Amino acid sequence: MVRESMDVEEKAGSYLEVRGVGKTIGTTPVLGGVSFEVGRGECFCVLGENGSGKTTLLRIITGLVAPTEGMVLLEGISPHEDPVASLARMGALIGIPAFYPNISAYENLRLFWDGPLKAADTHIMNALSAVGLADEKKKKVGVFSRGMLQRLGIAHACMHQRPYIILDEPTQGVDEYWTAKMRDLFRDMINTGKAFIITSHDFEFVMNLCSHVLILAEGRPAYVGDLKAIAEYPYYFHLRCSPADKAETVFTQVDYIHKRIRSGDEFYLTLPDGRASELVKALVTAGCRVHECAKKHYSIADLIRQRSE
Amino acid sequence: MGYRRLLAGEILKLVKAPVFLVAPIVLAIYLGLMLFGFEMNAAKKGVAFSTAAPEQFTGSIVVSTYSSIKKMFQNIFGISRMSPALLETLKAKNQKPIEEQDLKSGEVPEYDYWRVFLKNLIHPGALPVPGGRDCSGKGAESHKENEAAPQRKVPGDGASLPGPRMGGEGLLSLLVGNAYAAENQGSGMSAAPAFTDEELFSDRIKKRLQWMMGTADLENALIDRSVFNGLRFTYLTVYFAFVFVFPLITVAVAAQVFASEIAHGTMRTCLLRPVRRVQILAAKFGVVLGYMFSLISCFTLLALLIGVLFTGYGNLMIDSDVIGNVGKVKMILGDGALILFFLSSAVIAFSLMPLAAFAVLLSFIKPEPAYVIGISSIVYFILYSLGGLDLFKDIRFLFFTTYMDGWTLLFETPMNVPLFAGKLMVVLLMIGGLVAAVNYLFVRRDIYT
Repeated sequence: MVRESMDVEEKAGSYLEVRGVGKTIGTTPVLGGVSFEVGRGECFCVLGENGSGKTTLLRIITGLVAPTEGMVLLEGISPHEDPVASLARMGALIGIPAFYPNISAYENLRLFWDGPLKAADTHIMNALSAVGLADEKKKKVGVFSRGMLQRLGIAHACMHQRPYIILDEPTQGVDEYWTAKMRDLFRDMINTGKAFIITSHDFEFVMNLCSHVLILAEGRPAYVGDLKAIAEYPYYFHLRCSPADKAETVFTQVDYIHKRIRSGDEFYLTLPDGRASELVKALVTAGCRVHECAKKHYSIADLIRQRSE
Repeated sequence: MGYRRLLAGEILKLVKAPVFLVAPIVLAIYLGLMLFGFEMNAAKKGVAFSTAAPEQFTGSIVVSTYSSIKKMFQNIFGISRMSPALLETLKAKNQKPIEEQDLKSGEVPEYDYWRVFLKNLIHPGALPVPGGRDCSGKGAESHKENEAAPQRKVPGDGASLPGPRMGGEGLLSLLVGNAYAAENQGSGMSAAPAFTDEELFSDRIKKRLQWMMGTADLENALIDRSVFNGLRFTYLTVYFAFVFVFPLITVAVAAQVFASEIAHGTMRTCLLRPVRRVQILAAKFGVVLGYMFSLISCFTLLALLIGVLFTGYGNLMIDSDVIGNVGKVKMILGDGALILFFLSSAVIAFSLMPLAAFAVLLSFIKPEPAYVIGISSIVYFILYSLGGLDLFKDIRFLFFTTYMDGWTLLFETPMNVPLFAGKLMVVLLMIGGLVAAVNYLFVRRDIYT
């Protein structure tokens, strides 16, 4: 469980609990045995390959889909028994953002505004500004690009400033600039006590934002816990040097290489970030020629595969 | 969050949806077709129902269209012969019999019942001609009624004329026949289409008719424009719209509000709001009902406006057979018809809701607007058609279409209140049942799209 250290008082209220949730469609189980908790001020990410049940899980959390086993409790309220109370505590973006194409961005958000009418304009404009769509507020959504639509979906999820934000692949279709902006926005919101549950395929985005992770493999949890624990070395070094045998000898002599894979004169090495230059120096001293040395991040798929294996 | 805000949101969505504009356009086209349909029908018979001047009755649609527009502008600018002042004159003139010697004078007073007579020629099949062929298809019945009426001698040929208890087209046609026969020294006319334009609009026949009507002591119903006027045009237009157009629009709107939203994923966004699904359902049904009522009301009002502009105002006469336009006159309503049209708009909109609920039910089975519109329409038309066949008379009570025409009972005098209430009750029960089924599916449904 993610929040084992949570004190008793906190456990009484401000967190989302997913307890043994599963879903079977027809006779096909698509999700099973999922349990975790997310408290205010935390960011929890759900990772998994396509079809692993990530979006189904978010749908169950938001009450769009009823679980066939287990339960979800949002601050003690079940989204399936009291959807009004639970949805009043969460903003969500599930799947591809869907808005009315014949209506402007502002009108769309206004249509979905559930708070006091007096505050609507301020909140909607703040949300649009945060995702860079303030200037496009009068444009009909039908002419929006995929990235703009995604940002509008995020604005929709965040405009009420609800304590729980559920986002299904929020950076899908969003360019790098706005991905970074989104990350900053979410981080600010987390710092003000909002809880985020995110699915994403953007590893860097997840690494810089989330503290805890659930990895799903074929609908079953492969790992639930601290993200940094599985991604202590979320990168590797790719080296191409010759002669390869001499280089391999050097690698066996140093004690800071955690993992080494050789493919001809190419090596894939896992080692602490600060030791890379030291290793290259050792190779050169030993008479090796280093043709290439590049630091590369593991993809989420790599991580999932590692955990699944 | 209040239901009113949900409803306002649904209204805004519908206003921005294509169907909001397409539906009135379809109705406008239909109204135009109805107008031209009547014009064509009239033109085939050598007359134009909305044409003012006899010399324009060439049988040409173009000419009759032109004259219709001309007549419309005449009416708008108050130079119509159907002006209230003229109608008063007409009434006054009618009460004052034209002397026989007037027939020999050169002046032909332009009474408006001449116009009524022309209207009547649109339906020449209604002629129960004494001594001639009955074109109504209800010969025995018509003759029986005619014979039962007190007979009077009409100057000219001695043909019998039913007494004043009859009213409407049949009697007026009879007058025409007698007028023709009297002028031609015959024993009666054989059929209305036998008239030539020249014969029809000869001053002699015109004068003969005026004389006959002036001395016949006819009921006001006959001469106060009840034969074919704006109200009758509106009734027929709404009737056929109810059968053919309103159901299509209803399923299109229901498909827009439900199937389209599910298909495009916006239903998912709606369901992420902190409201109960039943509230969303109620708001959506509310907007379908409200829109249909508004649309039908506006359409009826427009049909009334156009009908009155083109064909004048008067009593609403409804035949027992709406489509045939022949036979015994079932009811004649006065100005009360206006309020009945408004009420009927509400009843029609309400009666269409089972169809809307059925379309919504289909939306959950397969959320594709085209599929929902297609299947709903086919089911409606099949049931409506089968319900009209004697073969299915024993099981037609099972068809929801059987109970949808309760609005027509509003126009009956005296009104069959138990039957009307019964039909509405069945419609209410059907709506309740279907909405309950929809609600059951909607609340339990997993939203994946």
